[in-house]
Amino acid sequence: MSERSDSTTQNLSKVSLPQAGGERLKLSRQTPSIEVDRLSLYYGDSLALKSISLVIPEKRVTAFIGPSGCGKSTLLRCFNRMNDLIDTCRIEGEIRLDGQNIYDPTVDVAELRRKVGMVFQKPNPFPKSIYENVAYGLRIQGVKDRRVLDEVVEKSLRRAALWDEVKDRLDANAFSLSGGQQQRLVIARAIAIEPEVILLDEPASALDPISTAKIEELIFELKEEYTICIVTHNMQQAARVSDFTAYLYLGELIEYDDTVTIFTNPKQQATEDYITGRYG
Amino acid sequence: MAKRQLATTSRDNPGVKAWFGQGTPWVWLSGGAVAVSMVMVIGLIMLIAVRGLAHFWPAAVIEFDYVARPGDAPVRVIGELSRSETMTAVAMREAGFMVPEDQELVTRHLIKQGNRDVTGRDFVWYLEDGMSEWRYPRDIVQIERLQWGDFFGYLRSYEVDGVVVAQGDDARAQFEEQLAQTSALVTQIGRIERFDIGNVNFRMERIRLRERGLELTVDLDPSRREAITAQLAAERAALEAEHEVLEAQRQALRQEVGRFAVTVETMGGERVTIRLADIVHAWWPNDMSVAAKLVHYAGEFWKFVSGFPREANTEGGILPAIFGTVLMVLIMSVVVTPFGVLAAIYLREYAKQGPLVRTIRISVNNLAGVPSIVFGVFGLGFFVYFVGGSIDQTFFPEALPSPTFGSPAIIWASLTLALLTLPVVIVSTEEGLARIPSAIREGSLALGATKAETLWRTVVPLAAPGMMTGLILAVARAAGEVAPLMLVGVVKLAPNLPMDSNPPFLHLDRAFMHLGFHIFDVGFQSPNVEAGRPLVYATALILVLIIIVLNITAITIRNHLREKYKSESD
Amino acid sequence: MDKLHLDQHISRQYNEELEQVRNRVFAMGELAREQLLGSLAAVLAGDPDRGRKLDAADDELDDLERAIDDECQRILARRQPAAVDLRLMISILKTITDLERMGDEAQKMARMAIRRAEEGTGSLPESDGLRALGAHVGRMVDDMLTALAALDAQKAFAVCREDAEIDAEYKALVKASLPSLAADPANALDLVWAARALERIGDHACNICEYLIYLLGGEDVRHAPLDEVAEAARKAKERHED
Repeated sequence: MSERSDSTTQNLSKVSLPQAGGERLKLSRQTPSIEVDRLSLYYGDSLALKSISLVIPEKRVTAFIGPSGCGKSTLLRCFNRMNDLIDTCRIEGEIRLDGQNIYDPTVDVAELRRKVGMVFQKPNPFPKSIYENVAYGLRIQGVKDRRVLDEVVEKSLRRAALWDEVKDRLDANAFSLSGGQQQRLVIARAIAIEPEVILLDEPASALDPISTAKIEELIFELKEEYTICIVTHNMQQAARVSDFTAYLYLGELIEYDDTVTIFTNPKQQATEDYITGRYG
Repeated sequence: MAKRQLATTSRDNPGVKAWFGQGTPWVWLSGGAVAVSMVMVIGLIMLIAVRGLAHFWPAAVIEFDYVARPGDAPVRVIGELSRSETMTAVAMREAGFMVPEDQELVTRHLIKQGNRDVTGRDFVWYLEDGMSEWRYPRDIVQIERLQWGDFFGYLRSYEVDGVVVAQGDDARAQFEEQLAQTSALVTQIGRIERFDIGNVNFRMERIRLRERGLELTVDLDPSRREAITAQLAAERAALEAEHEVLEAQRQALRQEVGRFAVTVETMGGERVTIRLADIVHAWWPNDMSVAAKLVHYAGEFWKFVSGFPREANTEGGILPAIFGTVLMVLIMSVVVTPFGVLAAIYLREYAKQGPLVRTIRISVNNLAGVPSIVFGVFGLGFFVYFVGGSIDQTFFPEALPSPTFGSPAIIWASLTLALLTLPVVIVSTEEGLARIPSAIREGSLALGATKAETLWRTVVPLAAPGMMTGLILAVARAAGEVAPLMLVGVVKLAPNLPMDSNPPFLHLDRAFMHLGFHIFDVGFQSPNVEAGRPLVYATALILVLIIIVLNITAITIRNHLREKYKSESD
Repeated sequence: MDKLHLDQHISRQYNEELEQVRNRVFAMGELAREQLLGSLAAVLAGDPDRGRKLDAADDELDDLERAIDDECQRILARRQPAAVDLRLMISILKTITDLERMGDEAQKMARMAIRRAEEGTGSLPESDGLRALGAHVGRMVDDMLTALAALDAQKAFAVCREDAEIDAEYKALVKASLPSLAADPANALDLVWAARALERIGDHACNICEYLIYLLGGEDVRHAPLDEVAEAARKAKERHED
């Protein structure tokens, strides 16, 4: 059958058909945004991340999957130094954002976190109005001009696909929103300060499927402008939203490849066992 | 089918075990505990309210003839029934009363007959057996006087400048009319004495202190010294002139009010002349309609709340005590809140959690269990003598040896109570901070806020209800505390309020009166126990009301804050 | 033991579902093989009764295909399989199509036997070549079924290689029957038709083996040159050896 060729297929071949594997993104061809270089992380004496090296591409969605306690959230929290809050946490190796090591002592952590925004598992709006939630980051930076604030709030809410739902009640308490709206509000709050990278730590695990779909759609739109890293327990979600997927297990990076490869033909048995629901 | 089986099993096994198994006894036990607590609290408040509020009601005045022992001539008694009790005859005989042999129980009545200046005893027990029928003569007048307490008797005549101008009903009408005018004048005299002359005296004292200060200043140019001395002398002269004028005014008014008097007949038939200037209020209790009694009641209550105490605190009002209590609590709140909140924030947010912080936390909690009198002793030794003494040495040397801040004062009382209530505020604030979900802090930090910005913009406002809870508990404790205050600032009778129209208006160096101490003083230190008894209840009622008002205010603020910072975690 | 660890899912229910669908695929393969051998024998022997029985048996194959389709659809909807499980589903769905086609080709031969009996032409003359081709294809199908059961990539590749020989054999057979086409067109045509059916069955067996290589190695080897298929089969084998 490999030699079968008749007039029909010849006509069809004029239409540009996808070559096998041609649609897939090649990791090596991406512009790097975050480079993780032999990163090890200790909580006290226990090693939580074991010499991890990977490159997060710019304006793409990179998903981190793995069983609970594999270190995926810990790794994500390294990117904006949220782990600094834990006293016993110690780090070896480097993480470079735009070529600069973010663990350099000269780096201003607050400034770093303005560049690398974060959204958490449970929606965590502040107990303030919707408007003040979005304006929070700017107010911290000392912006007082009401016009600038208005503009940024509207723009951010629009980009987070929330504007139409809340434009008439910007002064309402953020807790009056539904869970999914709260999570989009938190995303709007994060993008209001124009970060380069957005870290999403299981952003939809507390939401219903409709809200989850909205968040996923939003992630798809946001990758036009931002580098996005997402940690998720939901493998289908990783498969749906991400361009690249990294599988971590017991603090080690087992496999990192484009998402289609990971979900159809992973190279490592451990990855396959995890994503197909086997006990490895 | 399964449901049906479930239903029958429980019905098949009645008995104690099943009853215990269902937990019913625990429901009853806990419900009963609540009920008992409620009964006790409500009972306490009811007792205080009934006893305290009844005091202001114009009770009927009774008149009867009394025969102390058979064969004696009957004596006329006029007075107000204070209370009655029934006792065994044996006890009465031992107490020296004549009781017939065959009688077992004796009822006796405590009669408030007033007229302390005439009879020497204003509360006297009378046995019911010796009494004639009670009469309620409509023309008995009860007179509240500035001194010697109440007077009961019959109005006989009204005099101006020592000359009788009216008698009988006519006297009553003219007396009532003139009393209103005289009372206004007496109030005016009081105002001149308290405020105007007080103000002049205050400024005189200032000049004296400046002169003394001048003496203490060694290195001063003699000509300059002379100039200042001359200026002070001039100011003093001006003030003395002012004082003269006021004194003359006062004398004139005194003279004016001193012209009027009434003559009243006591129960013993003696005639006593009372100057209108000495009369606070006069009424005919058996000749009053219910409306008039209500008006009288309201007036008496208002005088109690707004007046200054007289007669060793057994008469007059408790305004200074109310004022002192509230002011002290407010100053304490102002001091303790920032201290407690800052300490809690440091302990919870900044301090490295370790053995040291644990030790500090345990110490703070233990501080709450230290007897309050210990705080009083500490306050006296540290605040009054050490801090106050040092302040006097440094800033007020001219007033020495008489202390300014080196004596018990409202500021020291407030600081001592602040120390006493600090643990409560620290613990509540820490709990409030601990309740803030870490997601909120992380959310703020992830937006590029520093730790301090996160604290002040999100964490502290969210923890505000917790802080308010601490403050509520602190206020409740501080307002009811008496023991330490006796050492560091409370006095039986304070000549001046700690706040007045003389600069700097708030006199933190003054001693003050306090409701709790007032209760103790009136109830147990007063020479006239019976007269003070209703006042103890009335004062206690006011104290409880003030604590309730302070608490309700704080709780309202807290609920408002909770509503404002409502989050899912609550 | 099963190289793909299909019985190691945390969900035992899932294991059973996969086991069942695989067993049905084996059953279908076995059935298709019987069809092939039976109908070939019927044509060679000119046995219309056997032909009729086999003609009817094709319905069974169709039913099995539908049943497996249905099960795969359920597994896809409920389990959302990924990686090897996803490849297994895709391979099975494709494999059963090819198996069903194999059945169709066998059915053609069975009908041919019936028709010839009705026409009274009986058994095919000069059928030695066809018999040899049939035996070869039968062996190939046997190998294919063994590879499927053992998840053996090398064996699967061997089947693919065999297919080229089948094609050559078929061409030779057609060429050999060209002279008799004019002389005895009816018999010659039937012979070519039967050979054609066998060749198609070989193609389908080869396809199924390609799916197997895809299942094992994750590499799509359809329409690829034989050396690439060999490489893919080798990699797939290596992968499951360690």
